[in-house]
Amino acid sequence: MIPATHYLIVSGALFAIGILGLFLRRNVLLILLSIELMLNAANLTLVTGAAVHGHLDGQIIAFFVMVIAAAEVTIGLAVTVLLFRKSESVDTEEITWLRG
Amino acid sequence: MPHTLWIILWLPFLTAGLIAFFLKSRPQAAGIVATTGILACFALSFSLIPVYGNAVQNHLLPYEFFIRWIPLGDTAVEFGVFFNGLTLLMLLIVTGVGALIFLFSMSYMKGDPGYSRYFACLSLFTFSMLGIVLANNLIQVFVFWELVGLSSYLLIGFWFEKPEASTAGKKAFLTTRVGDVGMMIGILMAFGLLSQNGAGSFNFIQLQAALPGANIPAFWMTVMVLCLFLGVAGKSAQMPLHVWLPDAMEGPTPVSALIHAATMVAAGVFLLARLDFLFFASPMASQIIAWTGIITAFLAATMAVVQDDIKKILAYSTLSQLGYMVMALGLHAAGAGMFHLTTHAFFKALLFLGAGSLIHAFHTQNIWEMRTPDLTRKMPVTAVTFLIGTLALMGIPPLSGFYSKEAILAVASHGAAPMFWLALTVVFLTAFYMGRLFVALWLGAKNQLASQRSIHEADWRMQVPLCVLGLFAMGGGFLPVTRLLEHAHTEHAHGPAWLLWGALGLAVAGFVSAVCLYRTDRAGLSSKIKALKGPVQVLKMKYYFDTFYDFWIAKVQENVAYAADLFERYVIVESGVNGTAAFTRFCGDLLRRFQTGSVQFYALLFCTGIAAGLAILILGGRL
Amino acid sequence: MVEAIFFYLFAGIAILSALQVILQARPTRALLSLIVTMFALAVLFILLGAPFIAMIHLIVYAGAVLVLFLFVIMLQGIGAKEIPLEERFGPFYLGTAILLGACLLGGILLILSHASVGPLQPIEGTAKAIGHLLFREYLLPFELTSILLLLGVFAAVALAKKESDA
Repeated sequence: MIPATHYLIVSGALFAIGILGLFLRRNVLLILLSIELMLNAANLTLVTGAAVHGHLDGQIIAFFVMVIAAAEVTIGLAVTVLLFRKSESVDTEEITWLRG
Repeated sequence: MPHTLWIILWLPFLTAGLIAFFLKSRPQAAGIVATTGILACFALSFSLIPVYGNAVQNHLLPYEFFIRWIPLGDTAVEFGVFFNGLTLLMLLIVTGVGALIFLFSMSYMKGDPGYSRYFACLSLFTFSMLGIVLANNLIQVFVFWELVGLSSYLLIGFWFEKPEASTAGKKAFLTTRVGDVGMMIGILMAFGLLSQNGAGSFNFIQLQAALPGANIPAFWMTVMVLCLFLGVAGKSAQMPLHVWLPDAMEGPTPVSALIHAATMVAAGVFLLARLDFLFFASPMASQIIAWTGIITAFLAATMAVVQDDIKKILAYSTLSQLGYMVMALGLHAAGAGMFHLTTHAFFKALLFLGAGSLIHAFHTQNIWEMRTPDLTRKMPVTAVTFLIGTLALMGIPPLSGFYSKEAILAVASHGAAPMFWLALTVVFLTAFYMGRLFVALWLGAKNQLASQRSIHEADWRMQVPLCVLGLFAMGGGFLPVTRLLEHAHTEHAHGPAWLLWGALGLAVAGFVSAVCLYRTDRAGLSSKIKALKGPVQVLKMKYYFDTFYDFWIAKVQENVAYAADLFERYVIVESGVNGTAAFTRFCGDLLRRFQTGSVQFYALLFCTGIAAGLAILILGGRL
Repeated sequence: MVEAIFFYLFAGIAILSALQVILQARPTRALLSLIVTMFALAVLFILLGAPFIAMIHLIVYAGAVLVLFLFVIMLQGIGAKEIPLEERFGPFYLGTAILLGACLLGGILLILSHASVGPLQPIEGTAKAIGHLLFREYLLPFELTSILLLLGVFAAVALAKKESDA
């Protein structure tokens, strides 16, 4: 039997990697991708939790997370398209309108 | 009675305001309004005499009435009136002599473009002087002290287009200002040291009550008294703050009569009399005051001997007589001092007004140009009254000056021996320089100046004051002045038996020797004895006081000011103010780096903050 | 025993491909790495007794969402390449980011070492079981998510619409 902790370690590592990706990638789309990675890590945690507690509620929540992630991606990509249209680039270095 | 006193105080202020705002272009009206105002004040003061007598009998003195002007915790700065014999005396002198001088001015200043301004300033001055006289606490005295200084400045520099006049005004103001600093320190020390039940006071009555139980160390008492005396020295032109008085003669002659003979310079002496209880508490300070007085008297008398300007002679004479008064008060003889102040007000104002009349007639201020063979015939009133004034100043009986001088000499004889001998020497010198003046005016060579023109008397407004003052100069010695000062700790001293005749003899000797010396030769002894040329030069240079002050200001003060300016500019402004701004800008520059505009960077900062918070919580065991 | 092998293998694959996601220069490669991670996670889900979730994960996430991503990445051009990591950011930034990640991981490990999590219980996350739950206890959230998806579609269309000339 694999102890639950191992699963949690994996999900923690995935989450950390996702955050690093958030900081380190310069392409807006790949930042969104890192966010997806973080969501996946959360899903893993939820399912592990379901297994630990013995009922399926965790899996249901993971299901809903997936649905919401899908919706979020939709809108995020729409915004990215808009961004691309405005600045002709998806490089975050180019997008400094918040400066000052 | 309080209403009378308030009216006396505020009426000149009202007239001053009236003239300043409404009567600028109507000089005639201005003069009449101002003179009427002060005559009214005199009438009111005169009406207080029976009130005073009544109050003395019913032991109602000293009387004070005040309002709490500025509350200061337990105590307050008051604004009020204080009435006792001294107040009454000063009121009569200020308003009485003042009224005569206002009348004189109406004629003397006729045709001057600043006629209205003149009367406004004179009224303001009267208001300020009365404020000092009527004040019931030290702060009020100080306020009006400064106002008097201001009025004096305005009046000395009246003809401000003349550079000497405006400079003289500034000099007067600044010199008295130096004294006023000391006075303020003295007032604050009095407040602090003489506090009753832990709360200080400025009120005279309370200060006097607090004095016995205060147990102040002698050193601090002396310091406090001397600080207050600095203010007196400034206003009453004692050494070394005497330098402004001769220069103040740039003002119109009636101004010199009123301010620099009779009233303002007497304010210092008045204050000494008012605060006599304080000066008694410090014998050391009293000694210093007395010596300052007599030294001033002596040096001023010596300087008067070499002056050719009639007003300057009279100015130095005033300095000398003030020195007498200060000495008397230093020796705790307020009665003698105030008596001499009263008689001096009469005959010195008379002399100045007479000088004004002469200047008006001869259009010059140099005594050697005022010669005319028959002055007495051409200007009888002026000549006679001037002679009366001269004799009174010299102390010839039965004129008033004799009695007051005798009182002072009697007091001096109980002081230190050098003081007494110096006082006698001053009697001689006074007669000497007045004799010189007499020679210049009356014993001139027969047809001196071709431009004799029409030397004539001025109109009645200039003659009446001369006559009135002449009468008082003659009979003033019989006025019951010292009775008004019964409350003071006067020591009715009598000098040695020979004093009476000795002083008289000295005066006569001085006069006669001056007449003999100067009759034939204008330059006197100095042309005959070579050795005297040096001392005469010293005297003409006013003992180099002015030279020293000029040097001090140019070399020392300017450099100190320059250093202070450098300090302010480079340390305070450059490093302090600008430095703080530069530092702020530097911090801002540093922090600006955070505003990259890159959302990722913001996210990083965001997460760093969260991580730090979480770390604290986790490691602190709270999570 | 078998379970252990599967676990470690696919956990390792998941982590390695996740690292690829953040380190790959080309966006398409990063995306594909993420898909690999999804697959590995799906295996882990199955190990945890959630087959339905695993399949949904693959179908919805890997199949739809990430493909959507791919489309948008294509918009930039296929040959798009990112500047390598070292040149992108200054050392200060890199250091802080990596430190942050390490701290996060360290924090998680620290908590886990102090926590006591119970053993894994065998559960059956079949479609039937989940369906039962979804349409009974969780009916309201289920319906709401459908509305959410609709709204998402509306928002995306509204946002991405080209400006009309009129």
